[in-house]
Amino acid sequence: MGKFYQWHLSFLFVLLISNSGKAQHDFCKNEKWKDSAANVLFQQNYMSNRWQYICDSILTIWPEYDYIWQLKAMPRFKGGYYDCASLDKAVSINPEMRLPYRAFMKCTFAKDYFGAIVDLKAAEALIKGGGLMDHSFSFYLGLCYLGIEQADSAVRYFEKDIAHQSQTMGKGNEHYNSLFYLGLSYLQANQVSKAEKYLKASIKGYSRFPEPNFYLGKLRVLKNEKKEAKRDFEQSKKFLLEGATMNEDNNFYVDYPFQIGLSDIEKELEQQ
Amino acid sequence: MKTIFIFLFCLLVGQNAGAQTNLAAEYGLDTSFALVDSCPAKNIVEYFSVNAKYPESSMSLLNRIRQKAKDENQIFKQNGFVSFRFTLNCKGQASSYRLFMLDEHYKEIKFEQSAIRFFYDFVRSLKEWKVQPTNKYGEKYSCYNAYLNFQIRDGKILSVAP
Repeated sequence: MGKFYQWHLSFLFVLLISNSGKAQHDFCKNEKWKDSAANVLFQQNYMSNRWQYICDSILTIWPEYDYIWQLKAMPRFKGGYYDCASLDKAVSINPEMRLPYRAFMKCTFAKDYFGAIVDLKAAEALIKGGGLMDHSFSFYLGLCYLGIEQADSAVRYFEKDIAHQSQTMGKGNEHYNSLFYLGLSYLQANQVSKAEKYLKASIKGYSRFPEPNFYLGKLRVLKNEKKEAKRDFEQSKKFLLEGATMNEDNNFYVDYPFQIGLSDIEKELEQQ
Repeated sequence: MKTIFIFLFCLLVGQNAGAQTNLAAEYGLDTSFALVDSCPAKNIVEYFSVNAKYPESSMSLLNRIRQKAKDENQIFKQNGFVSFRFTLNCKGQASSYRLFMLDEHYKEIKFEQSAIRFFYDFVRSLKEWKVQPTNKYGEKYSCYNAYLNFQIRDGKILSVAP
């Protein structure tokens, strides 16, 4: 089927460049051909050159196809080259659909927290109460502020994210990552009791979550509870070695802010 | 006939595909591949296909490189992103470096030689790369591509990715 699409699209392209203006106009307006072209793309490995070639080909025919601009940028971000020009183009064509994605890519992949904050605030103004990839804009704003070490602002946005979840999904059903990051933000803001409350709430939602166990250990060090701290660090190490992770879809590609590795735990254990 | 169409298709419109400018050679990075006879460099995959992100957390790498900058009095005069892509061979050795640089508005720029040398030394000092990792189906890969990106803002290293 994939080969058929390839042939089909190639044929249509040659047809297009050799035909009259009216035929081109009809072709370009037909949504079916756009879908067909996208299907050709999806047969490819997105890290291959062919993916880029086909994106360019489709964009030559439909330069206003915002989704393809986004798909052109995606593998480059995943490979460490931040092709923001393609995302900018996508956003200029369809801001409601593409601005949240650009914000997400800046925040998560490029770790461009300042740039992402601008985009996330614009996205929030455009799409009230919106979000993407399982989280609200407030969650990503919280991550960005945490990344630039503005703990008070991070607390504000994670509180907002959690309040929204409590309202829509019911109290007690808040996402453990939101609870973890709120706890961590409180820890950075030196509000130890609130930090403890939310880190524990996160662990309650996902008991094998290495990060809140680790930061709970750090918190106990601050409280001079060395025995309990060691226990938390060891728990965190055990879960990490068992393969437990942050449970975010894009964790395969990038670390999330303040995500830990084995060496972080070993370092803390050595100091105990 | 089908091949001709596909060829024409790619030839006519594929000219923008390689938009990145690799400046590794200009900055004196080692662009050769450290070939090991027993495992030729074929079927090279991306690190994320074989769960081979560097085992040390980005947070830890960031702390270490900030410390290194402090120890060496390294000054950064430009804002933006410095990205090193490289290939790991079957012994987990990094080589075949590629270098990409962007300013804070994602436009291509050239960083100062001393800044690039500073980051390059750091990247080359990392020796814990996974050796012959496997994908989710248990298939072993001898070589894979990885990258490290450093973001600089107002003279400070703001983040390390991935």
